[in-house]
Amino acid sequence: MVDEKKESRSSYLLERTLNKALPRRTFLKGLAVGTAVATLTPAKTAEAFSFSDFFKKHYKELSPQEKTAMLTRIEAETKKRYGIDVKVEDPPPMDGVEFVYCLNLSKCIGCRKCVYACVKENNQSRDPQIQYIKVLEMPKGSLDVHEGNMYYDHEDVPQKDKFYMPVQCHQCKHPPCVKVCPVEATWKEPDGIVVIDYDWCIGCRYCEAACPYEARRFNFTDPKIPTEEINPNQGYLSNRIRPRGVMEKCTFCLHRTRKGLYPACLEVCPTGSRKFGNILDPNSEVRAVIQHKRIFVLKEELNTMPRFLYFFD
Amino acid sequence: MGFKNLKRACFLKPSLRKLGGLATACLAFIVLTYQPLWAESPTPESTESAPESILSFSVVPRIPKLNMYPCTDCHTGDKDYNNQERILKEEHVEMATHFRNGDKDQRWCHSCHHEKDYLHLTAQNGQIVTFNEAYVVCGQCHGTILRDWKKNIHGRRVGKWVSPAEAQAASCTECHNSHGPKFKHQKPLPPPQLPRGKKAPSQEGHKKEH
Repeated sequence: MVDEKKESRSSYLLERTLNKALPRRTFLKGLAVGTAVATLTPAKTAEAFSFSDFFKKHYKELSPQEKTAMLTRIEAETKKRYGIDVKVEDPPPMDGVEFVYCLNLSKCIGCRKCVYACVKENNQSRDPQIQYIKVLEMPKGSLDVHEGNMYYDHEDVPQKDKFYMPVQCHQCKHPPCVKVCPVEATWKEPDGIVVIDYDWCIGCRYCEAACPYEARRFNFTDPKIPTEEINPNQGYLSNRIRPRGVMEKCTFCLHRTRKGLYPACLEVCPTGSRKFGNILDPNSEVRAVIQHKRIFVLKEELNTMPRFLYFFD
Repeated sequence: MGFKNLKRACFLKPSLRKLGGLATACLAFIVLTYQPLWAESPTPESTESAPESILSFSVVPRIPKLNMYPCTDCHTGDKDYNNQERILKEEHVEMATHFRNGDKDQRWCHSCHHEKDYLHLTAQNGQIVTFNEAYVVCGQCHGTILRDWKKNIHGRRVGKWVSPAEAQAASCTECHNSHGPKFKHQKPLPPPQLPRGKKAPSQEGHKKEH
């Protein structure tokens, strides 16, 4: 008797729910919130993700207002987490500009000053160590990178019978890393720089495997940077402090270069081996290098068309 | 007589019109070919600024960074100017690297430094240059490098990449020691951490296994 009553009651409720015109939108909203709560609560990562962060649009679809709100949010999160005031900007690519980098292999002495200037400028993790530039010590007479040694530790450089080849992201015109990304978290900007949206990256590391220049690095843990060494002038697509589990790489310091400054690695180079500029400008230094010097393209046979070129005197 | 009066005079007396025309022509000639007197004899200042003006970019001034400048701090009187070619034993001994000190067939101090005027350098053609324009002196022998430097292939630029107007070129002596221009060997910064479980390769580098 009681069971019968219960059954009829529940069937009545079910019937009423089904017959009630529940708007699809409301239903999806509820589903989304439910999913978000289910995703966030058990992992206790609610502080790492905000709601707006989790449901934000792809970088390319953001309106200027949404972008500003996003940058403000990142600034506030950095303040909360590291206790310092930073300025996160997103300088757009300049019109009529395509960046090219040239490096003089005859001049480089392998002092690694560029490596550490880059680490400092781009807020790379000190422990575990992440460095964008690998300086290969190579025997003279060979350009085979497999004969290079990046762990050299001599009393003085340059060593006799050795030359030094710094390798960093080549900002390819046909970037294999962009091709393999399953979520479009990395793409090529109009000025030629391949960028990563750290908020969109899922950390699958396909790009790391695809890159022929070993230019991409993975944040296995939250980056550890001494607070006093954090560079407060940050760019959304370049040197803002990365979260755990995302890829990062050299961006030609786009937060600097898109404002007309030179990259940090160039400014620190004591030998003047590094040349940077706009390839579309006939008076630029990279144009002069390409016109007057012998150019070497690393792994040219892969047809990646790098924007990072080596040259000799 | 003003120009107006002259014109009026010509109008009044037609016989004077010819003369007035001649005077106007003379005046025009003088105005067009007028040059100040000092244009004939250039002062040393104008010679010094000549090399700077042929460059399409500006150069980082060097004089504010010099340690022992002005030289007149020590070399005060005439007796301090011993220009006899000799081996230096007391002062400036450490600067004898780029030239053979006292070797008659080679360069010595006054190949580059002016004999009388210690505040300036001198080129082989007698041109007087300041310490800011040392590239004129260096470029006499290192011509191919000077050519590359002018094209911004050799050397460093300070400032912005956007245009040559917003960047300054570092002069030769900004990076090179003028008395020993070869780059000194230096200790490299520490190598990257080895990945866990990886052994450091020998300092000789990798050898091909096949």
